[in-house]
This record gives sequence, C-alpha cells and structure tokens, in this order.
Amino acid sequence: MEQQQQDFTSFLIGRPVIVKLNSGVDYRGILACLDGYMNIALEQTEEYVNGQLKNKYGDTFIRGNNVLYISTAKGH
Amino acid sequence: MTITIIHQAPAPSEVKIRHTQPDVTLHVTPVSTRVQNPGTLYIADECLYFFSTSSNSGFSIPYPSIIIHAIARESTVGPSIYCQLEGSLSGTEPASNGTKTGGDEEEEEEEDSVLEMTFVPGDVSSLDTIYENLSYCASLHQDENDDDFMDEDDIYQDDEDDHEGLYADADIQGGYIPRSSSATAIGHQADNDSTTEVPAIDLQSGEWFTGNAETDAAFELSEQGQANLARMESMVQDPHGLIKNNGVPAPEEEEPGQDAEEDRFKSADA
Repeated sequence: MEQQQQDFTSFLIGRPVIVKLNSGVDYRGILACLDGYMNIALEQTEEYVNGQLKNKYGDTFIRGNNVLYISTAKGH
Repeated sequence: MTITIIHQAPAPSEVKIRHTQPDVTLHVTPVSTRVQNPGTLYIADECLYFFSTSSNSGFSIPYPSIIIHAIARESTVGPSIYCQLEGSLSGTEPASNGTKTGGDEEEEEEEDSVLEMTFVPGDVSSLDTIYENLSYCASLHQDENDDDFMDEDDIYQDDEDDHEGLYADADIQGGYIPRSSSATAIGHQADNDSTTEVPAIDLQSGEWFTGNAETDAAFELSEQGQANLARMESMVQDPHGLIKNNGVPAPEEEEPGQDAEEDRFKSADA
C-alpha cells in the first residue's frame, strides 16, 4: 500500500493536477510537492471558484486537512 | 486556533522567529479596522505575526488556520503573499469589554468564515523567502485532533465488526491476507473451512484478483457467480460472439433475440 502510494505521488510530481478543497474551490497547477499529510505545493496555480478562474498564483501551499482530493489534469 | 489580537511584538526570547519582514502593507477581506499599516511580518515556528509599531497592535495567526498561502505576483495590489484563513478578525479581541453578547451560534459562524489576507512587502524580492518560511512553519503544525483526518492506525485498524472498507483487514506492512471475514467483505460467501486454502495476495507487488485460475479456484462461487464468471470469460475471449466452435467464426444468425421477443408478445397476447 505504502509503496503504491509513493509510486502514485512520484508519478504526479511535475504533472498538472487538480486539487479540490473541502470548500469546493479547485486549484489547478503543476504539482511541486506532496507529503503524507496531503500538504500540497503547486506551481503556476489557478484558482477556480464555481468553475470560474478567480486568481492566479505562482507557488501555492495548500494545507492538507482542507484537501478533498487531488487528481491529474489533462491540460493546463 | 483562532486569530488573536496582540499589543506587543513577538519577542525572540519567547518564540523562534525564522524571518522578519518590515514594511509590509496588509489588505484584508472582509475589510477590518483592526489592521494598521504598515507593519512587520514575523514568521515564527509557533505562529505568524503581523505587528504595527505605530499603533502598537497586531495579531497572531496560528498556522493550522491558514488554508492556503501563495505567491501572488500578479495581484491587483502588487506582488504579494496571499493567505486564505479560517476565522475572522471581528471577534478576535479577548473578552475584556464586559458582557459577551455573541452566543455559540455566532462563534460557529465565525469558524466557517473565510478571511483573505494579502501581505504586500515593500521589498518585492522577499516574496520567495516569505513563502518558503511560511511553508516550512506550516508543515511544523499538523493537526492532532482533526476529525477529518484519520491517521494510518485508524484506517488500517483491524476492526472485527467493521468490514465495509476494502482494506478492513489489510496490513500495511504485511500485504493483504484474506480471511473469512475479509472474503465476505469483498462479496464472496466463503465457508470458514475453505478459507485456509486461500493464498495470500500481496498488495505491495501490485497483485489483486488476477483471473488466475489457481488463485480464483480457491474462492467458492455460488451457481449464479459461476454462471456470471463463465459469461464474462466468454465475453473477454469472444467479445462479439463471432467464434462459435473451434475458433471458426459463426455465420450471422437470424436475429434470434427479435424472434424471442415476438414469441413473448404472442404469448402475452394469447
């Protein structure tokens, strides 16, 4: 299990991902870092509220306990 | 775990300050009169502080209340550090003004509210340093009593009464060893006797139910299950029903399904 999780994590690093928070807000960006607490660091981040682009950030740090899920994004 | 008003700058003797950024202008949404600009941003291991010496006031922000922090180079207020927080600045003063009018309801509302803070440093080149230090300090404060967060012990706990989870009996280190209870959880009606023959499936090497005859034979399928399995296997080998016998493509049949349907209608009419 742990191994698979690590494989998935390392597979995602450097890829465009979508991070959905419990609040419903989506963050799209390049995954820079992901730790065991689901703390997530993104680069070239776009913030989507209700599907609409609201903000753009450079580096973004998302606190793990707010994360609903992380998934790969097809394009960025 | 809330934002607290302070009337003294954090002292290096009391907290471990990693970075001090003077001349920072803070924009808060929703707007609060408690913010006095400019101020100094202190990133300490314990808390994040913003303090204005001119008004001798500021506040401390616990890291767990910071939902996200980010470098916002294209912000309308200039290159800045953006923080999204749980909480508000309205009810942060310690209850010193006599009667406390707000009930529990109000406090709950405040917990749900989101506060946005944008720190605009006079020195734009400090953005990366501020971000890095914020990230480091945030990672120092993991939630210990968060209902949303289950640690590994909880997830992989062997709870004899609860087999709803796929990994209810999985041992994170030892691989997956199906026992009678876990086989039931997966959907098989397994006899207790037969389960001793069930080979262990090692999750770490990526194995699962593989369609391997030897492995699967150990699971007892019901008649319905066997019929389903046979049907699915035939679909896999011959998805379009072209092969009838000995690998020879079957000639097109005259839509037996339609005939059957007509027959049914006839019998229904009769």
